[in-house]
Amino acid sequence: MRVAWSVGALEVRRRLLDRSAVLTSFVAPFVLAAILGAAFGGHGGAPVRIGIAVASPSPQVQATVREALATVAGGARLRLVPVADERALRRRVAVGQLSAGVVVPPTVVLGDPGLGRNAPTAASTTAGWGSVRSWAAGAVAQAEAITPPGGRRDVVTLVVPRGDAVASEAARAVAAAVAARAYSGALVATVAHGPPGAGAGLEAWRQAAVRAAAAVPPLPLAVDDVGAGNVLGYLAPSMAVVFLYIGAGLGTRAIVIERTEGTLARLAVAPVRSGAVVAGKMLALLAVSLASVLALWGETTWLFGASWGAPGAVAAMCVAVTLAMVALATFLTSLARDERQAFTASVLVGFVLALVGGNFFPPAALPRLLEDLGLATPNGWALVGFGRLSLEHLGLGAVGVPLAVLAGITVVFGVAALARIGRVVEL
Amino acid sequence: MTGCRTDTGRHADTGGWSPLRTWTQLLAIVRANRRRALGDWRLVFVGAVLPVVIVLVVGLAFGGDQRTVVGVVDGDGSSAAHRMLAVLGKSPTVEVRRYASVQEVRDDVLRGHLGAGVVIEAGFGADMAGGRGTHGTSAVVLVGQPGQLGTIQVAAAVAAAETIVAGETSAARAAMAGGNSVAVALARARRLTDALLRQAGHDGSHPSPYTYTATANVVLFVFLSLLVTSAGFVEARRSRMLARMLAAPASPATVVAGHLVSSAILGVGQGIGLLLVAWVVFGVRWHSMAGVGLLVVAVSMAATGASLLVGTLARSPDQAVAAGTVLALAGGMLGGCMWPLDEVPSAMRSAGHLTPQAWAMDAFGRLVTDHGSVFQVLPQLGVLAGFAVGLVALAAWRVRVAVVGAGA
Repeated sequence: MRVAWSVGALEVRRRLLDRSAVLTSFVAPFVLAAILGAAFGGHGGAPVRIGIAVASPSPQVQATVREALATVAGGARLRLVPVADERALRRRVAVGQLSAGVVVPPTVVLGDPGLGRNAPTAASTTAGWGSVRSWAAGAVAQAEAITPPGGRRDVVTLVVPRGDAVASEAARAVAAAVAARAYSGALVATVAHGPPGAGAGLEAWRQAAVRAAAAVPPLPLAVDDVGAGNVLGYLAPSMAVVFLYIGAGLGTRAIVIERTEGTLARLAVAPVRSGAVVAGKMLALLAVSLASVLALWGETTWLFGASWGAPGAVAAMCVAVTLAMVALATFLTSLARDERQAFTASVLVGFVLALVGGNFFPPAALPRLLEDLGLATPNGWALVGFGRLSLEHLGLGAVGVPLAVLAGITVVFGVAALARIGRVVEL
Repeated sequence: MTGCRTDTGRHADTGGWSPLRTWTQLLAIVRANRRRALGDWRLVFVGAVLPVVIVLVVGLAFGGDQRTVVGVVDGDGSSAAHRMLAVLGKSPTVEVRRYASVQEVRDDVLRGHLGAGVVIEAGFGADMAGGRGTHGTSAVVLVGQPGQLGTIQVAAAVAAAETIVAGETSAARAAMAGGNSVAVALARARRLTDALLRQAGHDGSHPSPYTYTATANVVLFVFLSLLVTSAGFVEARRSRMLARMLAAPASPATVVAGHLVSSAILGVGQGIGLLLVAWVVFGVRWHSMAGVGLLVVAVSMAATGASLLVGTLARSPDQAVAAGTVLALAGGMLGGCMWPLDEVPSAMRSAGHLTPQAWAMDAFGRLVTDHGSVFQVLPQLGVLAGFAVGLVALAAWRVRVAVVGAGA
């Protein structure tokens, strides 16, 4: 046993001195998790500041806009800032005082009720600060029955910065609410008083529509906040799982290279049993792998405030997934006959497993079929377990099945890996 | 004797520089590198097979139905509630999925299966008919994470649907006040709305759902492949193959240029190949061939510079592979190759533009998503060219220090 510990300690020291191993096991998952944390960790906290400029002094139009805004403000977590006019609004969006803006025209009568595909997206706006006019014109133009003949199709204007999806969607939600209420007014005027006529008839119809829009009853959405998303608490262990496999695979590859270079053959003349060498090397692989996942847990928790879930259950998952990934990676890599095959078994197979298992995607992003396919990999089961802990805030009892599956993988591939590595060392 | 060199690898040419000879030497190096690259099926896998598979998988995941899923619980069961869900179901922006309980909706929002949920409480129909809206006894509850993209999208669609239904019932009430039949007026209002919604759902062609993922993977994998091939340069350094090349009648500049050109050709070939697959298989379209061509060259040159730099800095091929993989993945994440940069906070968007990948993705957005011309991506091409020149200059300096200066 002393020999095994000595070999293990030496192996750990070698791995920690090997920059590529440190890079793979510690730096890579941390860097990638840090990027994920910065990208997704702090989203949804502060309200989105949407400026709104209402061009009409009419109390009915003002009431229509006020009621429309009340409908969406809570769900979209908006802070609505009244602005004097379109010019001021554009300026404040341009200097970043406002996330985006909405301009309501003087005679807000018709508009897309927010269901058209023509709504602008960040990707479709023009360069720089873009204003998308007539975004609903395609749908509105077809509603011939209630379009005033020869009348203007006044639509809400969005002022959105390029490249900010949340601000764009928030502005679109406001515009949709205003347009839907304006449409409802037009609907009431048309059904109750007939289609819009021309001349004085048109003006009367317009006034009826504006009055009706203001009179549509208040419809504020109540909000049941399920809590801030803990995406990083899910994505960080997801990254750890990828590099657990690759790190363990590259560790095994180093053993294959030792055999190729004849280093292992020299051990045969030393007074040690090959079993002790195998045990030492496997212990080292496990120790470094477990340290890498625990280090990432600590780093993302303390630096980014991520929550992986209940500590006891997370610890159990960390141990189980480490054992399973090391067992699988060691077995597959030990089948390699040379350094090239070992590279394939460690890095390339690692990427394929991650792809199939769903490690490169946000939670629940894959279609059901691919989700089920992911359960053919330890990666998929690891994500099920970590997802229950971090996203659903469940405890140890909820990860019994993933733990059992990972334990099964450990037993099957662990035994096979020990036998294979034993042969590699003896050769 | 031309092109002989000293032990330190410094040029001791006495026969003068010949463009033809340099060209021949360059071609020889490119041919040798090409043979080595094509003979390594690992590179073929990383460069060609893996990106196509990823585009397919990601396309299946995000490309097909891009609507946000909303889970609904109808606790009212009235005609007005049915109508509201019908209107919501016609929205091209959300897909309605029925649930039996609020808890199930909450769980699936947390799991990420739903963008948000909506619960129509009992009394909704009566409140609508009475003109009280949701200030009456009932409420329409949005179950979600306020401020998140999916919740905002669902809030917009639900608010619009709710308002339209309120408008329809208001219209019916107004008609009734005028002595008309409520049922007839309501049916007419619904027909008008349905006509509008039908049109809203058929407003012309849409870009291929693979557009983003296909172009993002071109950028990601050109960098990944070329950075991983930096291991070959390290191997050449360590096995003193470079030293032997420098002992031949070839200047250090020719040797470095040979590696640069080989790498760039690999990148351009891979980029064009993947874009062809995107065009033929995934239906991704763009108008400016010149713009896309120049962009692929610029991306390949920037990746080539980065690859050579890693090749001169890494101490072993393993280190080059590990560092190259991490750099490519991190650059891809920062630069918007894993998710669109417009979905991350503005600070992250700014940080992302420290990488060449972000500029390449901006350019692809203008060329492929916006169908822009080559002139519209000149700034991005300029920045990418700057990255390429800077990285190649750094790499050339490192080659001089680490290879030529040290006698390889």
